[in-house]
Amino acid sequence: MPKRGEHLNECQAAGYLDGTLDEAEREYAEAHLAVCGECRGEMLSAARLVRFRRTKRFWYLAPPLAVGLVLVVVLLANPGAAIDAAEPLIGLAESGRRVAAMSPEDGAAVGMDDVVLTWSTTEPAVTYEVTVVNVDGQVVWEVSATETQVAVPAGRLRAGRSYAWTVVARFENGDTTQTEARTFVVRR
Amino acid sequence: MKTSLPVELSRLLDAVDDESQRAAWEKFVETHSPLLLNAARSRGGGYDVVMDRYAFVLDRLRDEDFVWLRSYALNPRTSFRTWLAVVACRLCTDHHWSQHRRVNGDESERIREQNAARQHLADAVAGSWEESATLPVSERLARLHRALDSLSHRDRFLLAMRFETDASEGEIAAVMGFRSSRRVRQRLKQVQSALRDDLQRSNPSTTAA
Repeated sequence: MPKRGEHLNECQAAGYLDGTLDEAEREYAEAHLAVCGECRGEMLSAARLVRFRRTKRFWYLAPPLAVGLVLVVVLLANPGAAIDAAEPLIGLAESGRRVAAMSPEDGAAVGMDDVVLTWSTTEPAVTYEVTVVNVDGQVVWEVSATETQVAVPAGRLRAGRSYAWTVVARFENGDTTQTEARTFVVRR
Repeated sequence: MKTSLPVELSRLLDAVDDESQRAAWEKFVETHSPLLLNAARSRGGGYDVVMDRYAFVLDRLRDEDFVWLRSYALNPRTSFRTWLAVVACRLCTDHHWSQHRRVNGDESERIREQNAARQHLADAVAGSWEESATLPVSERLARLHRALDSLSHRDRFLLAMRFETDASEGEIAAVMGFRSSRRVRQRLKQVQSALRDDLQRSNPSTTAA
């Protein structure tokens, strides 16, 4: 295996993240990680790549889950709304309305004061609900906009962190459609 | 515990001729590009820099008849994806240093950051360390250093993750195998409390009493 001097080798680092090291190996790894900033940084980056993907799946669920929750509340309050509530969902597929994230590009690195999210739609919507979440899936900022561009306030983000964002477009007849989740990382 | 090799990796390493190796390599890249691209992006930079870094990672994985990948296949004790994530991060670091020759200034910067983190920890611990405000910063840090030496490796690692990286509590839990971020907070509180007790005990006027 290619050597890397006194740092943890790849198998040790991956084994630590996966929890497959025995007790002595784990002690050795923790003793090194307690004092080596380089290995700590690499381990954190690798963990974000691996865990990040698993967490990211849930970001896709957040806006539709929110829409679903609203629908349940509406239906419970007014059972007769069942048919009306179903129509926008059917209309969503048939209308062909689309909203697409434009910039920043997926995974782009951006300056703290320069996070401008833009998107485009096949036809103008009444409102655009923008949600930004961190790697833990927590919402760090959300806004309801009428234009296809918003600037994320710098105070909501932290340098060196990655975030994901989605936009849900609401049209006049109640239709909704949303962008796929896109990510960006804030430069240090 | 041994894990089995992913199919695309087996096919690549077992390829018997150039054509099957080329096809297997294309499949391997197609399967793992998202992870490798995210690794390249995670270091920042514009499109050209990221693609340069990504190409570097792929070249290094191909080097010497896939020596990195063969080293994993010899003894696959961890998930391939985790291993590849670690390797990708390391190769991105190598690419960074190949572009920006490491100079003494970087080491000084690292030491400055480390001292700033230690000061941050000292301030966090000093909450109920009564005489800390009267001590010079250098003495405060020296005593903290001695107290840190008495902690377990795991607790020192935990403090380093909290005060010397930008990891969230959730990320610390994921890296260190805590069950939840709440457990991370609980353990941090216990460790900081133990540090404070140690620092109080190390005060000559306290021990004399």
